[in-house]
Amino acid sequence: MKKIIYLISGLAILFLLTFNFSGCVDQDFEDIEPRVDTTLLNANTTIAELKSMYPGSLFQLSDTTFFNRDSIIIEGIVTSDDKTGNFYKTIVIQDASGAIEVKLDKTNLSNDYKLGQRLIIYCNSLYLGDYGGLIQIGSAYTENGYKQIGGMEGDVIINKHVFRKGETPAPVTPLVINPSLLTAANISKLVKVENVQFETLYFPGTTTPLTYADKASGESLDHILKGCIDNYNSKLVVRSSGYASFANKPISNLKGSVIGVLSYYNGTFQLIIRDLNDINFTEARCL
Amino acid sequence: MKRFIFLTFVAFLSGFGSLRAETTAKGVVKDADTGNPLPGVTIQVQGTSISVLSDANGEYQLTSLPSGNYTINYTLIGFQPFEMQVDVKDGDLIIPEVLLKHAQSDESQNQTLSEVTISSDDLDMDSKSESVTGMLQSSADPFEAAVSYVFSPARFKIRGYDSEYSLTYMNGIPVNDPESGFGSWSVWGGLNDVTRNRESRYGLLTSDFSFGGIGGVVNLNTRASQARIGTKISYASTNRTYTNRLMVTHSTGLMENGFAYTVSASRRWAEEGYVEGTFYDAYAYFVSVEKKFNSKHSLAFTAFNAPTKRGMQGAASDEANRLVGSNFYNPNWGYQNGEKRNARVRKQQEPTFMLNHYWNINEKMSLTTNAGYSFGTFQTTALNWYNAQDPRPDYYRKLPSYYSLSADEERIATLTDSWKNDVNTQQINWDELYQTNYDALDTAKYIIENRITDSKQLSFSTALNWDLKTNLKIKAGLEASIYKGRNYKTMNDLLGGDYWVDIDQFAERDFGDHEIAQNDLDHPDRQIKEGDTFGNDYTANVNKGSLWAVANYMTNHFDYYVGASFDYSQFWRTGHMRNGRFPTNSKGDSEKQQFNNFGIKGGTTWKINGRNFVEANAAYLTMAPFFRNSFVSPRTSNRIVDGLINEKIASADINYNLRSPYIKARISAYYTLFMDQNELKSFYSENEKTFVNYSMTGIDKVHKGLELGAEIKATAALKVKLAASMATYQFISRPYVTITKDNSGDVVDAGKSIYIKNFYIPNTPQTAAMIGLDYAAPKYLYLSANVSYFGDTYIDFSPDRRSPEVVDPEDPNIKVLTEQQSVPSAILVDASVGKSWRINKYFINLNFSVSNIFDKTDFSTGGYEQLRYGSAEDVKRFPPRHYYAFGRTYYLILGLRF
Repeated sequence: MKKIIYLISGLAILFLLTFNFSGCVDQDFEDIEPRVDTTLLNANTTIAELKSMYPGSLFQLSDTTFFNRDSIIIEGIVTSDDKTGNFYKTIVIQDASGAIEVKLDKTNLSNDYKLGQRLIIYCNSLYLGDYGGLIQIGSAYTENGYKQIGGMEGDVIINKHVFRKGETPAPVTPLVINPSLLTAANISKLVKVENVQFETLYFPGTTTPLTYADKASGESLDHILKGCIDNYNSKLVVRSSGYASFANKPISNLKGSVIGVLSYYNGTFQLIIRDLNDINFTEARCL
Repeated sequence: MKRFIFLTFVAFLSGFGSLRAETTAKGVVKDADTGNPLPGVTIQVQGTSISVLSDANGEYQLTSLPSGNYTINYTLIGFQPFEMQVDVKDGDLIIPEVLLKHAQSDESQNQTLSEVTISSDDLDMDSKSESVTGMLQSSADPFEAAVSYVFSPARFKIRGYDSEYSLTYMNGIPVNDPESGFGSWSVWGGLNDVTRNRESRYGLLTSDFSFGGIGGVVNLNTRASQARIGTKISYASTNRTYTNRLMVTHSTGLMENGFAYTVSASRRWAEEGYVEGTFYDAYAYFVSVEKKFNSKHSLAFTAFNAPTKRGMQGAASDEANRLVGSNFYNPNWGYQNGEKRNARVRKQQEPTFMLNHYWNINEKMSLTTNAGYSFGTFQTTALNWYNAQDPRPDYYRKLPSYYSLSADEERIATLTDSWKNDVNTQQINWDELYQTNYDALDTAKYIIENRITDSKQLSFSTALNWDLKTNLKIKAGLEASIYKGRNYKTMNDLLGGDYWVDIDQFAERDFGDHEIAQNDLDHPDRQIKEGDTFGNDYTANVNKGSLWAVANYMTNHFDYYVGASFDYSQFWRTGHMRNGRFPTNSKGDSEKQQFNNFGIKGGTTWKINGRNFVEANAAYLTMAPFFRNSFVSPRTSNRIVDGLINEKIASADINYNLRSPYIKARISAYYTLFMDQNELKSFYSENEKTFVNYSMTGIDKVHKGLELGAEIKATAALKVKLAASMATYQFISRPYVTITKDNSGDVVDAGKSIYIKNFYIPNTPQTAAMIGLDYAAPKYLYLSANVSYFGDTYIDFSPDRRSPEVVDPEDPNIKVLTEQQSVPSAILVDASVGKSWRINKYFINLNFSVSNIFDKTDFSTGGYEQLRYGSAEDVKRFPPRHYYAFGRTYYLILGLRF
C-alpha cells in the first residue's frame, strides 16, 4: 500500500513537471490584425500618356529617362472583376485620361483587386504590347520564337509593380457611348451602351437559344449588339468566355443597356461584362 | 471438406505421438545485476516452434522436448541475448540458472529506434500508414536485429511487404487498423518501457496466439506480473522528431497478495524537431493490473492512452528543395505574428482497455481469452480554399520553372532570389491569407479544415495451446471484432473569415448547377462556422471473425507443422450526408460486402544437429479487400468498385541456421506471389480537368530474395555483425483500371490495362547490407559502430503515364514519360557509446548514439511521381517528389533504475 502511494505521488510529480514543460510547445495563435494596404507612391504619368508611349510593337519600359523621368507610375481604379471567370488573369484600371488592361499571371484576382480599388502601377521594366490592337501592360514571354505580351510572373513579381492605395472604393461611372465614341481613346474604359439588343437570338434555323458562350468547349462567343436608334454597323459585340460561370445561360431576348469594359480586337469593339447584372435588358425588343 | 482433411491429418499425426518419450525442462532467468527474477523473457528452442515466456518468478518450463542437442535462446529487450546449449535425454531436466546482463547499447537502440520506426513515415499523409520494423526489436536473429536497428531509417520493408501483411497483437488482440490493415504503432508511442515484452515470429511462421500472416507476427505483452520489477526514470535529449523525452515506469511484480501493478507515463516534446516548422507534443500514460487467483487463473487489466499532437513534414519538389537549399524544406508552415505555424497538425489518441484471462487448465493445456475496447481519434488539419489561389508555397505556379517561357531573365532572377531569401515566398504567407479573408465580401477564401477519423472498436480473441501428446501440440484460436470509423471534416480555423459555404467548388465550376454543388443537400448553402462538420461525413463499418488451428509434430530430426484458418469479413459504408452529386447513393447504408477467406500453412524443420538446422515453410492465403480500396469515392458515395475479389497470396521460404558458440547465422531464400490486389488512387486529372478516382484491379506482384544475417564473436569482447538482403520486388501483371469522375461518378475509362509489368515495388531498398562492430570494453563501457548500404530503391509511379494512350514507341518523350525512376544508392555510418554505473541499489546508464555521422543529407529513401499530368510537358511541371532520411542526428539518454 505504501508503495502505491509512493508510486502515485511519483507520477503526480512527473505530471506537474511535464505540464510545466508543456509551455514550450505553444501552438495557440492569435489572429493576425486586419490592415489596409497602401503605398506612398504617387502617379506621375496618366494612363493616356503611357499608352501614347507605345510604339506599335512589344516594348519594354526599361530606359525611362527616354521619357524624361526616373520612373513611370500610373494610378487607376479597378473596373474589372474576374469572379465569374469572364476576365482571366487580367485587371482593367481607369483614370480620368483613359484605361488600360494589366496582365497578371494569377487567377482569382478579385480577392486582391476588387472593383473600385485604387491601384498604383510601377511600370519600370514592364512591357507594353498589344493584342489585335488592344494595348496591354505586363510581362513578356516567348513562345515558338515569338515574343509577346504576357502576365506578370506570379505574386513575387506582381508585388513589385502593383500596389493597392487606400481602401475607399470609388466606383467608376461608366461612360455612356454611341457609335461616334467607339474610338481608340475609349478602349478599356468602362462604358455603357443604351437602347440595344442582341441581333441574333437563336442558332440558325432553330429555336434553340444562343448562350453567352460555349461552356462545353470553353470557347468564347461574340454576340452582335444592334442599336434601336444608333447604328453600330456590327462593330460592337458582347464577348464572353466559355469558362465564365454564366457561359451556358441563354442570352437575353429583351432590350436595354449593357455595361462592360470596352475591349477591341482587329477592328471590332467588344464589351466584356463582369457578370450578368451588367446586361440590363428589361424592355421588349425593338424591330 | 478442407476441414475434414485437416482433422484427418491431425488424427494421423497424433497416432505417431504415442511412440515418443516425454521430457520437461525447467529453469529460471534472473537479472545479473540485481538477482531479481526476470519475467517476460522469451525463451526459444532453436530449430523448434517451442517458445515460452518466463513467468512472474522468472521461471519457465519447456515441455515435450524430444531428446537431442538444443540451443536455447533467451531474449528480452534491454538485455543482452543469451544462449545455452542443453543436451536433452529422457527424463526431466533442470536447466541451470540464467543471468541476463543489461545491454547498454541495446537499451539505447531500443529507445531510439522505436522512435525512428514510427517517425520514418511522418511525411504528409492522411493515412495511418506506418513502418513496422519495430516488431522485430526483441529478436535474437542477427538479420532481424539489423533490420530493426539499422535498416529502418531507409524505409526498409521486410521482404518488401506492406504493413498490412505484418500482424500486430497486443495481449493477444489484433490491433492492425481494420479500415486499412495498417499497423498502428503510434497508438502506444512513448510507452516503450511497458511494451518491451514482445513475442515475435518471423515471415510465414505461426505463433501461440495467431495463425500469422506472411510478413511476421508480433504480440506485445503488457501483463503486470511479467513486467520488470522496480522503478525506471529516464530522460532523453535528441534532435529528431522531438527534442526531449521524460519517462517513468514502476512495476511491483507479483506481490504476496496475488496482485501486480505496472504504471508508466511519459512526455515527449519539441518546440521544433529536425525539420523546420514541426513541433511535437505528446503524452502517454499506462496502467496495468494483474491478479493471480491461483496457479490456474490470472486476470489482467490494461489501460493506456498516448495523446499526441505534432506538426507534419511535407515532401517538396527537388526544385523547391534546391532553391531553399535543404532537402528538409517543409512547405507546411509559415510565420504568423512572428511564430512558426504549421498548417498540417496531426492529433491522435486512442484510449485502449484490455481484459485478459490466463487459464492453465492443466499441465498440458492453457487458454488465453482477451477482450478489448478502444475509441480513438485521428485528425489532420489542412488548408482549403475557395475561388482563391492555391496557398501552398510550393504550388507549381509559384516556382521559377513555371515561368520558363518568360522573356525576361531579370524577373526570373528576382523570383529565384525571392525563393532563396524571402521566408514569405518559401513558406505559407499567413498574413496574406488573413487579409484576403478580411477583405472577402462573402465566404472565407482560405480555411483550415480538420480531417477526422473517430473510431470505436470492440475485440475478442481466445487461443488454446494444448500439448496433446509429448510430440504433438495443437494451437487454436478465435478472433472477432466490430469496428466503426466515422470519417468527416470540421472547420478548424476560418483564418479571420466570417463563414464558409458548404458547397464543392469543383462541382460548381464543372456543372454550373447550384444543387449539384451542394455537399449536404439536406442543409443547402449551410454557413459553416468553426467547429461545424462539413464537406463529407460517413462511417466505415468493418466486422471480422476468424478461426484458426495449427498442429506441431516433433521427431528426433524433423519437426512438422500444418495449420489452417478461416476468415469472415463484412464491411459497408454508412453515409451521413446526402451529396449533391450523388443524391440517391450517398446517404444511408451501402450494400454490405462479405468475404470468406482461408489460409493454409505448413512447414518442416530438419535438425541436422544442435547447431545446424534447416527450416522450410509454405503458405497459401486469401485476403479480403480493405475498405479503403473498395469504394469508388468513399467520401461522397456508396458506390462499390467493380470486380472486388479476394486477394491471393502464395509464399514459401527456406532457411538455413547455424548456431555455433562463435558464429550465429541465418541464410534464407523466399518467394511470394500476390495476385488480384486492388488499389484506389484519387487525383486531379489534367485531361478531364477534374478530380478522378483511379481504381486498379488485377495487380499481381512477386517478391523474391535472399536474406543473410550473421553474428561472429571475434574475441570475448568484440562482435562482428553482418546482414544483407538482396531482393526483387516486381509487378508481374498489367492491371486493369477504371477511371471515374469524382464529381459525377461518370466512368471516363473502363478496363484499360496499365503497362507496369516488371515495374519495381516502390519506396523500399531492394538491396540493403550492413556490417557492424560491437565492443564491450572493461568497466561497463560499450562501443558500437556500423556501416550500411542501401540500393535499388524506386519511387512510386503514376500508373496513368503507363496507359496505352501514352505509351507510343514513336514518341521522343517515351522515356521521360514511362521509365520508372530510382534513387541513388547510399552508404550511412552510425555509432554509439554507452557506460553504466552502480551506486548502491541504483543503476545509472548513459548512452550517446549518433546516426548518419557524416551528415549525408541527400539520402533519398524514395518518393512519388505526382499523379497530375497530361503531357510530357507536365512531367516537368509536376515533377516527382522525394523523401529524404534525416542527416546527422543524436540521441542522448540518461537512465536511472532501482
